[in-house]
Amino acid sequence: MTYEELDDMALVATAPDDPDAFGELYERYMRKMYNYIYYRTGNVQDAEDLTAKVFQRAFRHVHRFEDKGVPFSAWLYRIAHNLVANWHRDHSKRTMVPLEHYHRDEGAGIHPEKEAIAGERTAELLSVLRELPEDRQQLLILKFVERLSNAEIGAIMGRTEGAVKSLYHRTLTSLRKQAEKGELGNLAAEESVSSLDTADGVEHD
Amino acid sequence: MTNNEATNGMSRLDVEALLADVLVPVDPRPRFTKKLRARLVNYRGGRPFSGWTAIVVVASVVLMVASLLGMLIRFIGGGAHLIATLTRRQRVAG
Repeated sequence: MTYEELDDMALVATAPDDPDAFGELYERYMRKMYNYIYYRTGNVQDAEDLTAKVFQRAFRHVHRFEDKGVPFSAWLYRIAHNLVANWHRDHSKRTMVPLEHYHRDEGAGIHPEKEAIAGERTAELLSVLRELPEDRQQLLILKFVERLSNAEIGAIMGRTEGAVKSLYHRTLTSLRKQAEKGELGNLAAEESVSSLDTADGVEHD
Repeated sequence: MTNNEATNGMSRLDVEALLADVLVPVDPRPRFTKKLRARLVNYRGGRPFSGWTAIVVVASVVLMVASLLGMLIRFIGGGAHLIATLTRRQRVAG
């Protein structure tokens, strides 16, 4: 049986004595941790440093992990969450996402002007998101970046599925209220234009 | 008011569309991924000091200090010998 075929708990059980088992866990969760930390910190350097710390800490303490019905990923997210919280405490001045590092899957062939506008819009929205309470940021990252279901998010955040749904609803309402105040006004206008362009087939030939 | 009803031109679906547009997976640098994996898996955790590393470092420091002390004693002995020889020669010549 190869490592790829084993589930997380089997890998966790052997990881303290078998670096390759930990290597498989690393392959499964490294990008997820990196993405989570990247969107929480807003820069590549800190995302790399904190991701490394998450896995070093996990490696040192993996023998302590007990299967209490909480997935291994939740344990990793908890470590990442604590490290990010410490990082925010140490960095009172929050940084913006440097746009030169913001790699997107889409965008090839888009007109440079449109790309620049999209970049501004992205930075603006990310700064608004980073002002949200921590649990809401975590929820949005898990939902949109990781594409997890409410049940999976609940397992990670230690909440019920209903609580996650409710938090998500309140988060969207809060963002809409910010739109009412005009903080997302430009974004809304650009989104409408973008939708029209897409509908006309201008942006994606 | 329904979920999709617009508020100042922005409905819940608009907000979701914006979020889906902006919150996309990003790829870490391949060099970082490889280096971290090597540190964790190949070098067992990338801890700066394991037990054996500490023993090797302490033993190396002790050996280096002993060698330096030995060399210093030899230099001092050599210098004293040279001075004694010169003094004796002066005395014999005088």
